[in-house]
Amino acid sequence: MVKHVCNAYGYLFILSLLLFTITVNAQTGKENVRITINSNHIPLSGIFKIIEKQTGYYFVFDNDILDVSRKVGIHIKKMPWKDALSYVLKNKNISWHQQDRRIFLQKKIIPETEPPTDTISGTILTNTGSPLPGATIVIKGTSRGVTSNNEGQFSLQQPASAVLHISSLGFIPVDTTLSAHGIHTIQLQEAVNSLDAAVVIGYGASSRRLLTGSVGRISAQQISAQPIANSLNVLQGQVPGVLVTNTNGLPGAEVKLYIRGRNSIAAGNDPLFIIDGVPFDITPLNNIDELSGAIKQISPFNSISPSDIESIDILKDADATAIYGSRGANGVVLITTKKGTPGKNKLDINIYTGAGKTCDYLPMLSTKEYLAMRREAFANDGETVTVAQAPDLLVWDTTREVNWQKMLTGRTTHITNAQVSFSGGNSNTTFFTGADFYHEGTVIPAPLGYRRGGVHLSVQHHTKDQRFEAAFSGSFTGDKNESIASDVFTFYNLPPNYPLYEKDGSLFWGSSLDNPEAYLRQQSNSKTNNLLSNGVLRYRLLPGLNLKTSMGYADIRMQQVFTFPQSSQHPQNAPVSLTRVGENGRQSYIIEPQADYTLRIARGSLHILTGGTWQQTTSKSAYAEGQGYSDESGLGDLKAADTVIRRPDSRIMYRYISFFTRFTYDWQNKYIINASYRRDGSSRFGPGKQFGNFGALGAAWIFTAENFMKSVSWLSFGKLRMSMGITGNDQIPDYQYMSNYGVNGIYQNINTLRPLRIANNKYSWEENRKLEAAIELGFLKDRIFFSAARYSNSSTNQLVGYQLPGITGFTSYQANLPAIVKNTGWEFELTTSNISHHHFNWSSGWNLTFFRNRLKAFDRLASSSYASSYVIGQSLNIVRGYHFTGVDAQTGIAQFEDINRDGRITSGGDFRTISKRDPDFYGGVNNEFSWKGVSLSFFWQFVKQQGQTIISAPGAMVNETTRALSRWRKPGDVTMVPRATTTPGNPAYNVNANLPLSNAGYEDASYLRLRNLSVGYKLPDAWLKRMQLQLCRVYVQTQNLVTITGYKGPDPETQIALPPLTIITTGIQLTL
Amino acid sequence: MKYFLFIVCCLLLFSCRKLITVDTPVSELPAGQVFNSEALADAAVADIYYVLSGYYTSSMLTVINGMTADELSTLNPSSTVYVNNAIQPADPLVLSTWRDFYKAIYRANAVLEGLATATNISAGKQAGLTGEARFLRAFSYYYLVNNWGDVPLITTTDVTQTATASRAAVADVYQQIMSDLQSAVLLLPETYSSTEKVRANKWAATAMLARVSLQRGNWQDAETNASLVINAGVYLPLSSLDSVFLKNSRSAILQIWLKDGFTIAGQTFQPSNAGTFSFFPLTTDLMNAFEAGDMRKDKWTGTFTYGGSLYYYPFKYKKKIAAYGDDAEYLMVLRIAEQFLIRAEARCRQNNIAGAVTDLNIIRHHSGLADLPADMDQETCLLTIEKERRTEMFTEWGDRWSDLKHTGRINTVMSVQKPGWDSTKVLYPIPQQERNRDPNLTQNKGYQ
Repeated sequence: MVKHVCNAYGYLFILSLLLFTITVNAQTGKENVRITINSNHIPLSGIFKIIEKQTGYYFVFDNDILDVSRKVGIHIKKMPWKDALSYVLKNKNISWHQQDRRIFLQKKIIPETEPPTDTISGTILTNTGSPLPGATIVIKGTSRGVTSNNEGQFSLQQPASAVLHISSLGFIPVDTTLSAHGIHTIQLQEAVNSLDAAVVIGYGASSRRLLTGSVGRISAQQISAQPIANSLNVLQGQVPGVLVTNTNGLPGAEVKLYIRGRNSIAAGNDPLFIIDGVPFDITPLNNIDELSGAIKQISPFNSISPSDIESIDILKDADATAIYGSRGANGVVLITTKKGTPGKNKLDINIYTGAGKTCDYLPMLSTKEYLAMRREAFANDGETVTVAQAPDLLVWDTTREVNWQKMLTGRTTHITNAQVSFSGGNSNTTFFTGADFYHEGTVIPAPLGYRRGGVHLSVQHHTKDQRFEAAFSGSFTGDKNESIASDVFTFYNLPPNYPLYEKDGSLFWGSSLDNPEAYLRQQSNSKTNNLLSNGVLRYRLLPGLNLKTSMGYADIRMQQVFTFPQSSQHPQNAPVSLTRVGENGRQSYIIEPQADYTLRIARGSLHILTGGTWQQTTSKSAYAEGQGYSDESGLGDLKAADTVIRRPDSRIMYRYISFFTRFTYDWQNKYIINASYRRDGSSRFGPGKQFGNFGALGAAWIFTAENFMKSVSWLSFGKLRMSMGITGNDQIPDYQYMSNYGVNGIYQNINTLRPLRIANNKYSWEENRKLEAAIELGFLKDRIFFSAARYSNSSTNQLVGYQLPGITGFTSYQANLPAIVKNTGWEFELTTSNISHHHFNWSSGWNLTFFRNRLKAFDRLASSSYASSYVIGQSLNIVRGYHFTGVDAQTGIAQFEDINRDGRITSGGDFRTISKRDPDFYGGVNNEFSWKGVSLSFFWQFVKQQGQTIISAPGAMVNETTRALSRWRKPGDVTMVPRATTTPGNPAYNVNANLPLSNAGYEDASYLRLRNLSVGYKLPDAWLKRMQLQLCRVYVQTQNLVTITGYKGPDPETQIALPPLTIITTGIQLTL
Repeated sequence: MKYFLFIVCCLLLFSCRKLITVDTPVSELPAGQVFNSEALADAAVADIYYVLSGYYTSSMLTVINGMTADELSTLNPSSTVYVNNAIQPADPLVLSTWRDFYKAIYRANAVLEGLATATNISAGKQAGLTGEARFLRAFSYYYLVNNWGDVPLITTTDVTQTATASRAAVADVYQQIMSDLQSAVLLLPETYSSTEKVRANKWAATAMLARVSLQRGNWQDAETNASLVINAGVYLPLSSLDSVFLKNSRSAILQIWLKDGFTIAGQTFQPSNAGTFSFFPLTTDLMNAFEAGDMRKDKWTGTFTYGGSLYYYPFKYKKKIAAYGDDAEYLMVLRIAEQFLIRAEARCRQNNIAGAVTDLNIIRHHSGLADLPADMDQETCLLTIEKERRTEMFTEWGDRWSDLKHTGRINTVMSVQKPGWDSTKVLYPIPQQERNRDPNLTQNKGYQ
């Protein structure tokens, strides 16, 4: 099998090479030779000779069909030879076509059974008036038709009064009857957010009408409506089945995106991201603890500027994702960057500026309340207050009062974004060039901030006859994230009277607690440069047969410098000034030769795609630590350090190869069937386990196209679709099958060698079986559009870092989870055009997703290392713990359910499922209003879920939320907050210590958030004309303005981390 | 670009497999290669020492053992759990310490398995490295069994066997320790492999064997082995109190090499600056145990004042920042003074009171204390040894904690020191996360 695939792959490469030679010829050849003939008596053979001489081509034809000695009069000047040839052969009933260097002449076959009666000519234009090449004009009810040429012109012979169906991808099709007189102009309306808008799919495009799979889409317009730094944020709540969560509120923080749920708790739940055909690895580059600052992991996705993006398409089901085979299990995100469009050149300028603030603060006890709680705790425990146990009561200033959250995360941050783009082109060449700059401060009171700047260029060219096309796009983005090395949010519960400074002004260290002011002096600076480029060459070998090669190169590099001045570290740890320097980079090449062929079979059209992929990614990382600086100002420079410890550089290689093919058969836009297959090989698997087969089958039935549905006028569109298939996942670390040693530390001045992993050469591809059925309905001329999808994904042999007890020497190793995990869900989407009036428009969009994850089977679960984590029949994302039943009214001690009734509370017998981290449902509601030039849109996002919260076990030397005010104080008090206690070993203290391990540590974290509110005003056309502008729009955009939640922790989305910011911006957009 | 495509096509002439074959990365070495070279195999053994030099095994164990016993108190409210013997199964320090010992054991097992099939390594080198790996495995199990009682006995790297291991009885673990040490004594040379004493030799294994024999009540073996080390002739006369913890001091049998010449213990116990305090001062009870004139009190403890009270802190290690040259310190693992104390107890247990007192007096004399008379009864003798051991060995790898356990006096002593003491506190809880991941691991009595 491998051999066959290899052969096929080899052929493809040869084909692509062929394509390369052809394209070279086409570029340098005689395609565009112009000829001049000025003669009243020249034989046809003479004209042919002239053409042969000038082009280097030669004619091939049967002498019977044409008398070449016949003389003609011809006067042409610098006419392209093709036009000249057509001109001389006009009315001679001879057709010609060129293949390689030969020009074939053939007698035109006149169909005798159905003689044409009329010749219809016309021009197809877009709604902006530019010609639309490639539109299909078909006589309805037949398979006969033509496509429009480069100028949008077409000519078709048809029986009288036939209905013509004119369509083009991305435009609303038109059915019309045309007369034989004159040249008609038909304008096709661009399909925006409707059934016929183009949708990007794997290695191709389709429309919502014809899709057999499940694809969600976000457009540039939706992206530009939100003042966001990370493009993934725009997807929040917008697409059913897609859950996007911020990890914290610092600029540059990672944004998590899951498509149809997390398949496993292990790493590798990320979908496959593809930018202009090139896979983009979103694994954070700063993947070691030493380089994880307050922001934690930095997603490379920050380096993608939202303003470069034209659309984001999300592939969800087997039908859509199986063409990506082994990498499609977690869904696929296809990002298309902006391209130029033919027409007038446009200069776009968009600038906004605004401010952000942390949206929530926890209500904490005041110093007075806190100290009272502390004294009560010692009294309850029967202990005397000692200096050792209570510096907060006996040593520190008891009148001091600090709200740590406000002090450390309370600053107002400023945001500025500017972007400019210039685009345009003619019908052969288009270009887009853009630049953007983004700056965001932070809420932390230190000179920190995030800056990003980037340029983007895209050029496309095709020859006039559209046979050859070349496209290139590239972008370069640099960002700089100045942040701090450790999270200061964790200080929210620092005692409110903690002194920051000694009397002499130096930092206070007279306690085991870390000093937050010191944290602000430990910097983490990260710089990322990201280059993305791709080129596509396409050649139409024969009508319907295209050869294409796409090539991509991506290069992302991150440099990090962390500085820890000695004075900012707890002296108890006898610290030294420290600089950490990390350099991480990833370079990736990809080549994908493809061929696609469209042909008509019976009354349908068959589209065949076949191709291959070869990818190589090299990741490099280097890390060094400089220790000991005589002068703290020298920090950041390794050379100034007393000692430099370098870790050996690492270089990781990943290789991937595959063959893929897809057949799509469309029977009159009524029945569509789609089959895809992919065979993948990956270097991440051990010998003999490298290859895997994946594939899917999808079918759609557009039942409104049936005759019997024609009479149902209110139902304008109806489609049933179904798909099933198998995809996989290779998001696992490299080399896990190799039993290798690597450098660890230094002993006796030599590098010691440690075993790097428990090697496993048995793990193989995981399989994710996806099944989906959906119905899509359009009512009242698609003014109301509804879709419902039900999916059921079942994954077996999930690849996980299989968790191990430390007695094995490691805490995990790469293996297949011997389990069947099922993800099922419902997805609903409803878009309505409520009011569509000349001046006033109101449209709404709703989406809702129900999600459920279930562990169906697990081989010998009870004796595995997952025995206490998983329960058959429940979600993989459950939390196990004690069941808190309240506080004993007599003793004030927390009580937990003794589930196994053995008279003791033990984790072994008394743990039960107390929470789960999967949301029950989530979605969003969008409303857009426009009245003349004024537009208003607001978008609410909601999630129903449970989350971790701040629990209250009052008494220790940490501040509590105001919930602690309702603690138990005397026998008879009925409350859910136990008595204050602070002495380990005290029975009350020991029992209360179980609270964080119980359901008291979890609560409902559902929320409804006004994610985005945007108001804009577009200046009237009359003014624009006077100012010679195409567009001028001013707007106000907000992010996270209102949050409605019952959650008592800091924020229901990020939970126990710095909450996301509330942002208000104002901006102006100009088009010249 | 064309050139690039050409290369790709050439590559295609090879098989597809080639296209996705990756070499061992430059920063990694296949296990087979490591055990095919003396230098590399040596680096794999050195790594086990490096693991044991880590924060948890080398110092947190000392600190936690010191607090759960009667050596250390705390000025850090969050460390009160240890002083009050109220450790929760989820305690992160206990988990990390446990895991680091098992990390060392895995590496020792991997070395033993690798050396068993090694080819290019000389017989002498193979014996030496095998001996070291066995010594280090025994050393790790000694601390595991002492702190947690029954523990999983892992002697292979095969994850299918180790992932769900059950706890082995204390006696079985000790049997493994004894067999490893006996084998190490035979395999290891008397000399050190370098000019420093940072790799185990025959005497280190013998000294450990003496300690384990004492723990198990094999008095005669304890005496014999301790005598072997004492009579080896290279560790005496005793180093002065000032120099014993310096690197390569005469009294050291085994130390852990430290790059920067200072110990985490030195860092942890000493107040950071003048006027500040140390989180882990010595208990009043320990300070009271020092007899008047005991030079160890002056040399090995320091004082600071906090909140108006005077506190003592351990001051065996003087360095807390990088030190190179002669005053650099290494972490002491085994030293000759302990062998005298082991032999004293072994002799006393065998009713050789005079012999025991002779050994005791060597230590006392060295500390500036008067000799004891040889005519005490056995019980007094044992108590005297216990006190001497306490003042000699304090804050070294939790010596007090294990000493009280083997003499069986821990409950007697602790219930005086710690109100609410109960005998289940003798053992630490099996870490909760380990139990979560290995359903066969039971919990110690007294813990949830």
